[in-house]
Amino acid sequence: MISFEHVTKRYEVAERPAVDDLTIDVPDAMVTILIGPSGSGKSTTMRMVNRLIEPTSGVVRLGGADVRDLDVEDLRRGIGYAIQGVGLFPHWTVHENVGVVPWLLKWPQPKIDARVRDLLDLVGLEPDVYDGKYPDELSGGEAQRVGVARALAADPPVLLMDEPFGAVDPLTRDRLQAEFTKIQQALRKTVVFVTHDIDEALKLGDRIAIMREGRLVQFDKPECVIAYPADDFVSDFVGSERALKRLSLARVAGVASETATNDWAASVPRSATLREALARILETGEREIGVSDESGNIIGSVGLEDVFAHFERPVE
Amino acid sequence: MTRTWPWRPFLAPTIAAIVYGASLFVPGLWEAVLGALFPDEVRVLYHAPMPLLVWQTLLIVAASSALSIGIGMGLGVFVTRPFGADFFDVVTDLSNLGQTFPPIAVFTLAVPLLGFGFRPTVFALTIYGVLPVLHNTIAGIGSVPPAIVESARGMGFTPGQTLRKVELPLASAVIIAGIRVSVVINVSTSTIGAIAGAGGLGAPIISGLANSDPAVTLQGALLTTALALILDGYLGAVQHVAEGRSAQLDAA
Amino acid sequence: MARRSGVHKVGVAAGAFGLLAACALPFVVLRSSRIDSGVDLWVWQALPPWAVVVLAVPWLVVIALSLRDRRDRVFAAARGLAASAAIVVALGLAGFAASHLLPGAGTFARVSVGGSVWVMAFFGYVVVLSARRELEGAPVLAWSISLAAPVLIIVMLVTGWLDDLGVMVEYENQKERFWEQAAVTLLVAASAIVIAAFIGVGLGLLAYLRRRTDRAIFTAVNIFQTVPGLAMIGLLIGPLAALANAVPELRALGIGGLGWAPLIIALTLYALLPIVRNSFEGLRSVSPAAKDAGRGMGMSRAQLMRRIELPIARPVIFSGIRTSSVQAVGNSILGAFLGGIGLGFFVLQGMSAQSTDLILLGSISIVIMALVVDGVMRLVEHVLTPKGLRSKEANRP
Ligand SMILES: Nc1ncnc2c1ncn2[C@@H]1O[C@H](COP(=O)(O)OP(=O)(O)OP(=O)(O)O)[C@@H](O)[C@H]1O
Ligand SMILES: [Mg+2]
Repeated sequence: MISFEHVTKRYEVAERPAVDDLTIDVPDAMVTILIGPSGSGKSTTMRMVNRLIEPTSGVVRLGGADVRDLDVEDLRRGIGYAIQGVGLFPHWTVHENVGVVPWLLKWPQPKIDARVRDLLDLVGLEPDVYDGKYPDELSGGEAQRVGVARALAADPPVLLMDEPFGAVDPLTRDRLQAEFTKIQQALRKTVVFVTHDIDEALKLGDRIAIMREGRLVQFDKPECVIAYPADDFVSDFVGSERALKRLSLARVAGVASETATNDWAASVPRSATLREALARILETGEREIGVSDESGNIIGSVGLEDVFAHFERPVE
Repeated sequence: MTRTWPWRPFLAPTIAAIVYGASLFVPGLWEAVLGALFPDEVRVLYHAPMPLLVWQTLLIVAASSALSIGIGMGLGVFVTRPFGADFFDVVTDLSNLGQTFPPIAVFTLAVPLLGFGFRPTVFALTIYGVLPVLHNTIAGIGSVPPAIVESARGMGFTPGQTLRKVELPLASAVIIAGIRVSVVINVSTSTIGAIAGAGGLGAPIISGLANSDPAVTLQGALLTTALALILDGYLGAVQHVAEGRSAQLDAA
Repeated sequence: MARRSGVHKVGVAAGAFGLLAACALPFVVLRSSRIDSGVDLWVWQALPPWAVVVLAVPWLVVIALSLRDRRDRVFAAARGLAASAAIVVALGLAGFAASHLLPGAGTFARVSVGGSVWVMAFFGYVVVLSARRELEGAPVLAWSISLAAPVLIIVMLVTGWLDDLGVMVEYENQKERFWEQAAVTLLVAASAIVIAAFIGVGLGLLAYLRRRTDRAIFTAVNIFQTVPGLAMIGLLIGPLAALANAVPELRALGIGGLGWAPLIIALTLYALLPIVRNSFEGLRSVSPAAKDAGRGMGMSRAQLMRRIELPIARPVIFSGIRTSSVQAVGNSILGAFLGGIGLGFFVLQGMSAQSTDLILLGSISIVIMALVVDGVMRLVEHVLTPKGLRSKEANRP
């Protein structure tokens, strides 16, 4: 849906381009993460999609059309946009904030009202409580949710999110990420998501694009990024705990083996990650533990051997 | 560490002051210019010599500004010390409220109480002139990061040393901005003092207005405006230098 | 709340200074005619003994209430009320003294309020202000306390209790003229503000939208601010007179070297700085994130300005207009020099006749008008502030 073709952006004052000859095809209905150190050109890349920034050269396409051929305001109204500072309008209620794009699109008021309530529900904010609040009455996490709801308001097929969970504490951040995953599973939007937190990228991304000084260094599935970092920069960036990170991308369900006995000293749910299973194994001192389904019945087992085997299997 | 006093910001006001001062002693020049502008007027210059008028104004402004600065800074320092902290709120409220009043109105309100002439005029100007200095002293001292004061005390500075070596230097740019406002207001209001019998540059303006001598009015207006702009320029330069200094101190 | 030890310093100090002022400064000035320099009368000369006691009682109450540093509602309110009483009693007794001194002093005799009453009023208000702070949690009580003295003073004015004071005699003599001049003052200030608001907000917008213009704009409006008031009028007279000579139609409109035209121009030029500055700063205070979000969601430049930037900046802009309005009312005194326009007329008349009561009539009514304008515009400002921004309101001077 979104593609960059040899896109370069050079700011007037800078000696090197902020984005340098970027070519990338953002897959539909997936979360594509842009990640890289500060100043690597992530925001610049993202903002060229809705033309908040115009490229110096190259073409950005949306659904096949050059974005420069689209009316800039129509283009933007058709793309959800959520940013780190949240940028809620302080003089408007939560209701008005969430309803802004439908309002710009001239939806009838009753339709806007209904939509806003649905969205607040979706992001986990009780509509009756939050509808009439003003931004300065919200906590950081609540404001982020409103920001996400606002981006989703007109049901855009494309969502641009620039560090949308940047300004909250780690716990709230975990919750927001979990909810985002749930929402995305239901809505299947094409999402471009900027972060510089590798854990967030691994958790949320279907694809990860790693950028450095305006260039794309690697564009791959999360597992591949961890297993086969393109160069030292990427492996540094992914960090020293690559092995553990790789374990956190695999689910127990994929490696568990069926066993005759149901008698294990401990067990993990099958939705747990391999990393969690390993932690449990180390805690209990057993070499193998049980795996349970959603209702708690033991359906198999997972052991140290499975963990080793996971590493030997190639990632594709 | 030695720093050379930066002279550049003072260049323009100094040149202006020299030209201004010199022109005071060449009434012929003024006569020629004003005469050309108002060919029909018989009387183009005020009867009192210009250096005297400027001197009177400067005297009034210097006296009232010195009082304003002394009282304003003293009070500002007092309410930011522990023993004066009880007065902080009320003094802040008073200075905010006081600045709501227009300076000319405060001046004319004070004249009936204080009387006519030089000294009452100085006191009347002082009443309002205190406010910007006070306000900025409180704001300036308040803007010094508590961590800096804390560390100064921690290193063994006495309260007096903390004030003189840390708080006042860091607040100096803000305080000087307040002094600048105060002095400019004093120059402005002092011209009204001419009707209270204090003399100075307001006299030709008022006399010209009263006797329909536009040339005389213009003479006074030009002299007053130039004086105000020159004083403002000087204090602006001082403020500029102080801002640079406190930025350096901040960075240190 | 932590128990404080010691005395309520503000209360004790203000109470003591109030009492000191009562003794150390003249209570009223008796003049044989309006321009006589007069004799100072001290409290005990001007008032019978019982009245001296009445004068002192509220101050003693203030001090007594301040001997312990209690800042709870009851004590704060009581101190505030006692101080209000002190102000009202001082002024009321000055009126009383006037009524008793005048009959024996000749037909043209005047009694003016002396320094002690003013200073007592000042320290009384200090106590009221500090009570207001302590009553922050109880806005209704705080407002009642701060309005108690003004309301009672209005009652005394209306009932004629103060009619024998020199200021009121002057007012009585020129009643019609007074209201006429007051209306003119208001009209002139209002016209200047309307003009300045259009120009000032426009310049603020320009400085904000075209960043390279901001220095030039601010330098210019700063220079206007620096030019002394009388000089400004002096500078305007020549060009305006020339203009009126060149275009006689303008003269017919009343535009000329003297009159309302130079006054309105001067007031407008003075009003520009606060309005331009607040417009600029108000617009700049809009968070970059909100602007980015607005643009990113597809607002046009005009929509962003009209729906986001201006509404957020509006209270700050209006507070600049309020500051300017108050200054314009005060600066309208300059109208006195342009042919006696506005309340400044009485000030100038009083200055030339050395009649302090006449000066007072002009200047005190201008100060009151300024305070009323300030109060009314604060209310409007509160109404204009979008609800989501009200929590920030308190931070605005
Ligand atoms: N408006 C601008 N004018 C000039 N240079 C800019 C501008 N915006 C960004 N840059 C520069 O372009 C480069 C890339 O910026 P960009 O904002 O895309 O980085 P980023 O990867 O989003 O960084 P961060 O993680 O800090 O948000 C940086 O060097 C930045 O300084
Ligand atoms: Mg960024």
